[in-house]
Amino acid sequence: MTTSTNPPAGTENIELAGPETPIERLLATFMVGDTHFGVDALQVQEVLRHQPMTTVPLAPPDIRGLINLRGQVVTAMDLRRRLDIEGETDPSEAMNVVVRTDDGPISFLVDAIGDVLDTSGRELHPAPETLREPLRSLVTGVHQLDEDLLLVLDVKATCRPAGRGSSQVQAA
Amino acid sequence: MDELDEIIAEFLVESSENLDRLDNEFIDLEEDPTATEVLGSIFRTIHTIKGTAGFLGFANLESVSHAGENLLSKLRDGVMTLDSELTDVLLAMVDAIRSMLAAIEETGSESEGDFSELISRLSAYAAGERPDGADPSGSDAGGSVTESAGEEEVSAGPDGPGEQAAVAEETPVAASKGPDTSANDARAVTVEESDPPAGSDPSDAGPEVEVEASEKAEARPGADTPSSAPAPAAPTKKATRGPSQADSSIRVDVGLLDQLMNLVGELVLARNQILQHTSLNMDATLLATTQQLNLITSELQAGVMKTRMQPIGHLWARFPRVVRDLSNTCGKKVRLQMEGTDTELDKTILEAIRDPLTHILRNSVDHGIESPPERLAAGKNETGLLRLRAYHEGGQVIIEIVDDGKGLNVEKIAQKAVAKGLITPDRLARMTDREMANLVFLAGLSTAEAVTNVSGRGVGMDVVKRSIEEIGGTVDIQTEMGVGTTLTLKIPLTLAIIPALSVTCDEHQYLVPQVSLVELLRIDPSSSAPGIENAGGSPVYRLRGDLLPIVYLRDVLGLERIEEHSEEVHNIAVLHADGVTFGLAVDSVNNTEEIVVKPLGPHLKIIDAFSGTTIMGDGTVALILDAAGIARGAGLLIDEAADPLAEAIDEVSGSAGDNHSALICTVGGQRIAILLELITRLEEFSWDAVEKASGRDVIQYRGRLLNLVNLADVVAGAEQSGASRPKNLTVLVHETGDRFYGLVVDDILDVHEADLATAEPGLVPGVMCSTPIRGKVTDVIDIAAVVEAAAGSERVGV
Repeated sequence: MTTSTNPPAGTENIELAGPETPIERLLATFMVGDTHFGVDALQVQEVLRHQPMTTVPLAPPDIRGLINLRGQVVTAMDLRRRLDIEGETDPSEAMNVVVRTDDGPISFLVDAIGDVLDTSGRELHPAPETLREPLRSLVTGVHQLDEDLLLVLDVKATCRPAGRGSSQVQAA
Repeated sequence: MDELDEIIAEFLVESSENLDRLDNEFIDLEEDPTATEVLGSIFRTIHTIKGTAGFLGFANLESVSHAGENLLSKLRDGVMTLDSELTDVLLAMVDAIRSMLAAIEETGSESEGDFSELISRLSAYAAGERPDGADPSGSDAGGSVTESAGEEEVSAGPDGPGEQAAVAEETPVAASKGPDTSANDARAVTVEESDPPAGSDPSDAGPEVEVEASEKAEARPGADTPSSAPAPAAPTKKATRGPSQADSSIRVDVGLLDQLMNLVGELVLARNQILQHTSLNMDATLLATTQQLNLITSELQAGVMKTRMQPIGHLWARFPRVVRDLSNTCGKKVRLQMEGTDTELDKTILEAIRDPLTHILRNSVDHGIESPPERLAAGKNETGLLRLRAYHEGGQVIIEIVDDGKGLNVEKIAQKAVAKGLITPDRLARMTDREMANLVFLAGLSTAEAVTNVSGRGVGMDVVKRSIEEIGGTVDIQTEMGVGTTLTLKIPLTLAIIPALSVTCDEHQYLVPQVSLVELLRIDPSSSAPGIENAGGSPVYRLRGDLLPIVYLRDVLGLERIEEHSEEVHNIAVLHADGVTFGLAVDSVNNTEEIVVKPLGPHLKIIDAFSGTTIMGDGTVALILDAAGIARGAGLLIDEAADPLAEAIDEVSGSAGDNHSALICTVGGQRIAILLELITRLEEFSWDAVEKASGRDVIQYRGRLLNLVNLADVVAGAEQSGASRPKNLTVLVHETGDRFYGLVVDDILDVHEADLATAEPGLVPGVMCSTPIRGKVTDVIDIAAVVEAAAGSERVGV
């Protein structure tokens, strides 16, 4: 619970401090635009400040590039574009939330890192019906926090590239 | 319990290795049935399996190997001579043992299969009976006994009772051989070490060996009291055999090697970064240390790579058996000759070429080599020669499969390819013999007149080609009618670390794998030689008399071109992939590097132009270009001039959806598509041929009238090509039940796959649907509607 939205300068890695609460109940949270999102902390490998990135021509728009994570090549996904949230995240200032997937780690580019929240005792409300796509299919539920709403993201579904390959017209 | 599992696992690994060896030893033996050394080795292998099986309580396995052992002991002692029939039954035993081992591996216990038939067959042969009433241990066997008895330490009389005695005596001999056989095992070493004193006193050797035997192998009642005669025989025999492989090698889990390999890859990257850093530094000590680090890393890399290397002989070990079985089934005589079995390849690559190689081999035996009468009639030796040859060349491994069979009927293949519509007759006319031979790699082309149970199993030649190309290799075929066929596979040594050329485009580095690189060109427009020229809108370069299509990397990557192409100096990397050669124009060419290939994530795999990524010396991520993907993206693999193989493969791979070949044409400046299946012919007429009939334009065509339909009248947005009419009329001929219609277009551009499943239905009459073809939305013309409209207006006009 020590992380804040303004990490001290010079800190490369913000370790997710695990308190005594069981880790299954923890959500790592971050901001994309004005929206507060949370993902299962178990699936978060690490959180990094901005990393140098190699852009990939012809890539889907939400894939901003590739970063070198200690010798591992990690795909960086612009969550704002992935979730179709208005505005632009400046990739040169974005924070990286690196999540584990079956196909290796993927880095979510987000605007700011939030607290790690203990959700035990809090009720997960179903996402409102009015939520628009693609959020609707990617948000598993909503936590009502004191100050705002926390949308819980399905990491696996968010990272899934399916369905978007067809929009890429490659000859043959 | 765990310990026992471990023992079983060890037993399984060891036995399967031994069985692989057995296959070959049997084949060797068939050629030279008197090779007692080989026989002895076979006998020991089976004996070890029997012993361990008994110890571990695998009763079935024990009884089968026991029956086999009995038969083998007869052979070894020269009571019988190995012939083809005996080899068959012994190989059947090996197969049975193998299947039992597989069952044990899977379930941990023996399968309940019934092997009594096999056992009784083995015993029958061992007892000298032949099911078909063939000559038992008659004159033939008797002769060989006298011949080989002298060589063996057991002196047994060839006559009936003597034979019995030999068998009885055999048991202890076999038992005392227990430790001998298990010299593969580290524990056996201790026996060997304690042997010298024991050997001096034969009476001591007995118990010594026996303890090991009961511990290692099994304690059969007969082994309890080895007679003093055979006991000393064991040590002496041991001495003659060389040290076993096991003494100098250990087993390592492949997963661990993979991990090591990855770590070394990281180390290489870190080393590269340090090297770059220190090159700016003046500190002498640091520089020296870095140099040291550099050397050590390189050596470590080479060393670790080596651990993953396996001799190709590993893979080939089972081929003699494959060829033997196959040639027996086909009624052919084939001699397999293998050269360069110690040529080393990365394990993963070895795995990858296993199936393709087997298939090629099967093909050669089944289709390549003729039956003995045919061969004799052709003036050849009745035994066909199949030669496998492997060697290193230019950082690659070359594998040649050469047969002296009948060769491919190139003409027939070509005709078939045309008949199946895989290539056009035009294209065929321009093909060399070698190109025609390579047509066998086309999907959907089988040259076998009749499908035997051998051909058509597993993979086809097109899959062979594709699986070899998947690992960055190439396949080539050369053939001469009546003389033979040579298949040449060129395969990279390893997949993990490859040499690549680094190029720059739009300030980013990209890497071109060295395998696809042919040469580098620098075209200076200030020189007098013609630079990049324009051939019908496509940039080409005259390279030593050939036209080299030029592809701009900036176009491929969807980046903006910086300036007019014709004025700048061009750096061109000539690439070869999938049978096409093309020039890739890049901003600048840097240097070659050894790179560690890392796969692309699932989001980026869909991009054809890249095959992977790597991390450069400065820590940045760079993309590896895929020459084949670029060629495809640029349409080089699809148009007429392209490689017919890739073309056909494209067709096949594209056949998944609702795909149709569409003819891309221009009409009055508009790009349209017409389904190729609706067009009978493409014709060109001069304007003089156009005549009027019922007030409409017609051309006399094949004895009938070709009704011209100007598509410019139909296509929305097309400009009427009034004044600037071309010299000739390009006409697509469409045939309805009773009439020929000629659809007039300005230009035919290309043929492409169009996926109609995803197409938007057309909104304007005459447009069937709109779909992106090669990245541009193109209207597909509804010919039926157009023709109907034309016919309608015709009627109205009349």
